[in-house]
Amino acid sequence: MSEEPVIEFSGFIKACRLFRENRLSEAEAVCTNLLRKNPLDQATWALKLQCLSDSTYIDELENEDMGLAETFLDQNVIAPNARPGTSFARPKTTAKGVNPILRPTTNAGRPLSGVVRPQSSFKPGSMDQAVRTARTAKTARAVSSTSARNMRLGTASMAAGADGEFVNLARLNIDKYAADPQVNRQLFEYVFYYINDIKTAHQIAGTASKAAGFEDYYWKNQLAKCYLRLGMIADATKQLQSSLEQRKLIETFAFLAKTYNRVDQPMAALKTYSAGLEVFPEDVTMLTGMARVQEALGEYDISIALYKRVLDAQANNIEAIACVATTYYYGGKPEIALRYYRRILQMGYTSSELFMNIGLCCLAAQQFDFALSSIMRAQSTMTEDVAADIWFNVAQVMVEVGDLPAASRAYRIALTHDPDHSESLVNLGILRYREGKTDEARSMYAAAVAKNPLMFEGNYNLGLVCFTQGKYHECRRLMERALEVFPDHEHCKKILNSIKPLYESI
Amino acid sequence: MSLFRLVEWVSHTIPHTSAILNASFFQDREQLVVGGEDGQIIILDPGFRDDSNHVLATYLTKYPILQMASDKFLAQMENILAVLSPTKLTYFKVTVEKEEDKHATIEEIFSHSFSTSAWNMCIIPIEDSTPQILVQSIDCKLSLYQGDQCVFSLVPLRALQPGPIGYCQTTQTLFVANNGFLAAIKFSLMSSGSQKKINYDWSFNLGDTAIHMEVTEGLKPTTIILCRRHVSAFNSSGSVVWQIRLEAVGMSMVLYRSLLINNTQFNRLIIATSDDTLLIFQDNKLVWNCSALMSPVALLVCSYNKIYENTITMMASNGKIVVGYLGTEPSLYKVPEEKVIVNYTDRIDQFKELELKIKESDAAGGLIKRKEGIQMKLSIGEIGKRTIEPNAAPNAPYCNVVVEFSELHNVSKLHINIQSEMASPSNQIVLNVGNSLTVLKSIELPFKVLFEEAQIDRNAKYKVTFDTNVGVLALNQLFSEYESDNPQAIGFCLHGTDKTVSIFAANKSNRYRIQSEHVSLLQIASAELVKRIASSAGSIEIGGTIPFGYMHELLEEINQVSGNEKDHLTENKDFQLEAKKKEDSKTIDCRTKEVRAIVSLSLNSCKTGNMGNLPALDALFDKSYRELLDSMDSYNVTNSKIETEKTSLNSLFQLAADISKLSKVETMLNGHFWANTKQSLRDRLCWACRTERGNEMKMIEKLCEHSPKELPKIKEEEEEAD
Repeated sequence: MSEEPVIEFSGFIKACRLFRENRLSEAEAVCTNLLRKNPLDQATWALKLQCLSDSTYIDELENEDMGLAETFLDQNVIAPNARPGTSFARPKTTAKGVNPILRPTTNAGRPLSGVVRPQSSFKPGSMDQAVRTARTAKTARAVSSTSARNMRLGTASMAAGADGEFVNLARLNIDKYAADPQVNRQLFEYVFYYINDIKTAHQIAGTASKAAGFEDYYWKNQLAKCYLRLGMIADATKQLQSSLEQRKLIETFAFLAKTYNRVDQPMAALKTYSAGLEVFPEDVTMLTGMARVQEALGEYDISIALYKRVLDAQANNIEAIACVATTYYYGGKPEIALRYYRRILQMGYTSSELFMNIGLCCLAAQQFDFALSSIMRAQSTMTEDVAADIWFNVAQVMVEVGDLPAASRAYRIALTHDPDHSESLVNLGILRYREGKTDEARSMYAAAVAKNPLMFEGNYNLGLVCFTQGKYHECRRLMERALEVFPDHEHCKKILNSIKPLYESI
Repeated sequence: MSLFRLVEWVSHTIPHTSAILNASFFQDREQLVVGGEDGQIIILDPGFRDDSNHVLATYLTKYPILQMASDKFLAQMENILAVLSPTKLTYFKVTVEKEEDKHATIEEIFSHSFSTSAWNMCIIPIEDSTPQILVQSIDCKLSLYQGDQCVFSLVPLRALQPGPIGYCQTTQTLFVANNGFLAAIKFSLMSSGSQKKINYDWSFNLGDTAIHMEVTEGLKPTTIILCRRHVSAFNSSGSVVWQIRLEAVGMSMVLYRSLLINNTQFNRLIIATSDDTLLIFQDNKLVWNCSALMSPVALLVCSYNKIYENTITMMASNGKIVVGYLGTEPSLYKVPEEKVIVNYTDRIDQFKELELKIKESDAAGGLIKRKEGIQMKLSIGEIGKRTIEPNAAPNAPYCNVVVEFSELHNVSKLHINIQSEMASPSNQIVLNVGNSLTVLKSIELPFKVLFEEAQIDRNAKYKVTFDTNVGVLALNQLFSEYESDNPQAIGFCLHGTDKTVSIFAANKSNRYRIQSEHVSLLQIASAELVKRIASSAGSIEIGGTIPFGYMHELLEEINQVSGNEKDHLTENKDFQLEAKKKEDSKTIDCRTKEVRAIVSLSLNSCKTGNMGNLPALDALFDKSYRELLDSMDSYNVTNSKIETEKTSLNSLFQLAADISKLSKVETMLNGHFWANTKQSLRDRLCWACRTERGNEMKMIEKLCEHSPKELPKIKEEEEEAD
């Protein structure tokens, strides 16, 4: 032992092994040391690039965050006035459609889904509202998606390269390295994910694609990714279609469907997914995508059937379980929903939202002891971003138990956590109205409507108060807005009909 | 914690492990070979259950171990272990002396040395011959060894970073996944060993770093590649059969064939990901997933003995080696033993306390102010017999009110405002501290301090009766501080006044009667009486009738009665205090104008110098000024009368509230119902009743009219059992 004191891997082998064991930062440190000795070692250089880009890797398929600019200055929507059922903006196809009372909507007016997805959290309502939402502390919304990403990734790169950026892109001979198939993928990923310089990334992908004789599907997909980020959706579609002609791959189908979703063509997206399913039967990515689109279109039955197919292929898919559970819950079958939620818990995933859902299911299924312990657990594990929802649900439970003072207190706590929690405002308003404090209730409803103009309950309740107070003009305006969200609401229609003669008599 | 997790059977922690291998050296069952970065080779026999150590043999080489393989690499020799280290490929022979022996020996046979560091190797099976070993160096050059011979060395591939390699015997194809490209090479092209550029059969851009490769033989040879973010399966012509997109970074993969499920139609895989999950796939269909409690960098499926067949062996990067199996029983999940049994009575009490605290803190301006502000505690001190205060009534007793302050941090000035209310027996002390931090406390003075004993008055006008469900208590015992002998009647007189109140107890009817000429004394006496009865007799039910008649009387006097009774009221104008007040204020108005007119007249005449009618003016002024003063006096008298009546009425409200409370009815009326407000009583009542119908009296009755609730009095059966 004395001749060879330490027997261990060294040099590039060590770095490779560390990278293979997913110990990225250690691998990067070893690479840095090696590069210090030999700055021209391409293999080490590429490995370091990969370590850096993998630390900030995000699945671009799931990254559907759209900024304000993309949402409102969108030139890509093909048919602004689409027929019902062919656009996300006009999801209703049949009378069975979305019932906002049976299934509540998100702040953005979309029906509540089992999981939070970036795209589902925003619906182009009014520019006015969007700008206002952007200003509040909680729902800070980037003006464009690239600006949000830049901010996060900028800090990441600062932290990693304290002694200056690893690769000086301005001085790098991009054409040379991009054409080299041994390093161009690593370089592209580094620029795309880590530096987030989409223009340079696009340049690399273009050069690489050309170097590969326009025959590599991979570079076409990467070009499409760049185009998607740059908002050039038509170019992205072109690249993806060309890539599909070359090789039919799951990722390509999914990206193509995503571009169709971006231009509000859900039918084309569904067709793409179906085409993907023909090549890859029962593929989870395709099925999940289809289920999401169907859900956004309000076709819950189809969506749930798809999610069940996902679960057949991949029983641990939490998104599918949660969506099925949510639909069962709002379909009035809390016991079955409970079993699904319990399954998530059994799989080792815990969060306060999950406990709250289990608590609510237990409550609806009359299992009060479990409901209580679940809700307590949800409260003890909640984080600031869900605190308002948790307290809102606690208040709902209080209302069901009949303890109205405690309920109103819980609503107020929810509002201290999130002053924009319009549901709490509406329900607190209802409690105030019951106490006879009509004016207070009125102001609460008005606040809720101001925070969330698309909310059915807020508009309807404020309309009701106006009706009883004889402010028929305002009432009519509000009821019409409520009907926009929920066109089949019988009470709204009745009230409008009873106001109608007053207008006619004038 | 996941319910589905690996059940651990054997676990060892051997630091610096870098490779594991399952190999069968004896008894047709598998043993585990562990290679270390420090050059250690350990053969473990987990299937030999008598010994917890399991170590069969150890051997120390001088090179870190990259990879190991076991096969019949040398002709006529069994149990050969090939060990790859960066600089050497070494063959070892493992000998087990006896079948049942617990020890084996490892001896080095010979080794090949490399000029460039090796990275990995794969076995190339050859029909009718010993298998060859293909070694890839770190700079992606291939060398082939058969036994002690080197077939060819350092054939370069076009790649920078080495990746996994695999060989398919059926198609005689070598698969290389270097640098994110999967390439298929016809092995016959290689065997010449020429240094020329090798043509790939096909290649595919994986778009990711390959981590592990498995190649299946048979009718449908499949190459399965584990990359960091996905798993892809390729057929022999290079098209993608299926793909699994991983949610977490893939760490290791193993392809296994179960002896029980002898179905070659599907490929069965176990994939470990960096979020400590084991995913078990049948092709791309997930059949099971469980928590591994670690993220293994190497996975094996081994059969160590007949009981534990097909166990999963995992190696973590920290050297932990776990042998386990997928348990079918939920080993961890138990319903919590202590069930949540909610003691609702306790909870209700707790909630009441909390409510009280919340109310208190609200009154003190919320929790935060309370913390900063001063604390005040009031208590009744010693009671003295006779006060020597000059302004007090002679012989009146006195008591000290002890005021204690705490948390007086930066208070330089302390104002104490004392507000006493006779009508309702509470004294308020208002403290003003600096920047409007206020503490408000109320205290009830002892009865003895308020009243002295006096003659009883059976003919007093106002009375209120209380009945109880047990016999009456002796009044002289109830009010023991007074020196009365009469158990059935006692009289009190307010110190310094001649206002008396008497309490009578009727043995026959179990009733108490309180009588006084002054309506507001009723409440004070009755509250004290009820308190004393309750404290001396324990659980006793007391009930009383609310004296609505007196309220009506008072209301009439104040003239707040409206509606249909108005006509009736206009007849007795003397009693309409409120109307009188209005009239007085009108008179004051007139008189003031008159006086002003006279003043301006006199000023005019002063200007003009016409002083002739001055005496007449003077007389006129004198008269009208007197009249003005008179009317003002009258107004004030009426006003104070109204105020008195109001306080009396409030006292009656408090009495009504007290009596309602005795029958467990909470009413909104209380002693402050019509105090500190400029609203009319009607407005207040309309607010309280939420109706605008009926006159005041009806509203008051409505507020108190709730039938006594029976439910709170019902005892639950469980409580009786206790």
